[in-house]
Amino acid sequence: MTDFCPDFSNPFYLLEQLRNNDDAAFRWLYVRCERVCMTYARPRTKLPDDDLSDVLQDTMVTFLVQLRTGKFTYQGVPIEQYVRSLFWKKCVDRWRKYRHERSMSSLQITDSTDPEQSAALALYGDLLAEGTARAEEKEIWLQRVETALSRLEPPCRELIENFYLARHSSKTVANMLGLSDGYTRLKRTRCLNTLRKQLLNEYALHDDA
Amino acid sequence: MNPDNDLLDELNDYLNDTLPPESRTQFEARLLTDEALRDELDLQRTIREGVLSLYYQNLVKNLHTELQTNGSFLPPVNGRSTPNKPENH
Repeated sequence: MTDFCPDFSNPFYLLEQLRNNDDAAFRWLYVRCERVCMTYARPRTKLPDDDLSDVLQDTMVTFLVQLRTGKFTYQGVPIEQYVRSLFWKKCVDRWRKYRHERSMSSLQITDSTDPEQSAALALYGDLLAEGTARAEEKEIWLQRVETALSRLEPPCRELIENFYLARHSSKTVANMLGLSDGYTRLKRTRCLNTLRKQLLNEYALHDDA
Repeated sequence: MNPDNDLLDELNDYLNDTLPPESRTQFEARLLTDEALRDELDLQRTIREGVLSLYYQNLVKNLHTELQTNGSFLPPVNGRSTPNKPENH
């Protein structure tokens, strides 16, 4: 008997497995991205490794959400290289934040080894500041959703996560949970409407209802 | 607007890009004229992105810790620890 060895070096297969929440695919990509990103960033920035690790994790979350929400389209660039470009923008963004908040006393990004980088820094300029504002707004929204989710009963949270995460039909989810399809759909809708109401009420969002 | 089962499925299929082409065209035509539907789509998009982000944050955090612990990452470089933080020995 031969062990099945998935070929994650095939980007189409890798992306499909990531969309399907394949644990092995996450590991494979994460290890490669860590190497590519750290190797790229270390000679170019004095941001400490702890910060680079934080940025890497944030980058991976961004990429995976982009993938699941259709905002990432594979265009031939190796996926780890795409992640690296996202990562580097976030590194520069973090550096700018440091500079504003701490006057950049001891942290600097150096570009002595990469003339391309100095051009990129100049180009990003205001875009990065705008990106920071967007990221902060997004962070607030994530906290709102997190708070609203945490107030739901665990079975409700499970149904909602299944609805958004698992790419299964409601029938498959119902089978997984040992419930009928009709009941699962009804319960899911009630749970989502509770979550929705909490978001709308607590944060004074407009509701046409 | 409190979306019912069918509308939730339709919104989710639209956001997942899994609506058949004809249904997608019809849905987009409704979006042009139905402001409440557009608001609902925005809200569902936000909730969906929030749920996905939270899920992936936990997944990536756990994966990072595990891979760091079992030595799958590049070795640390001297002098690159966070300033003002004690070194781990």
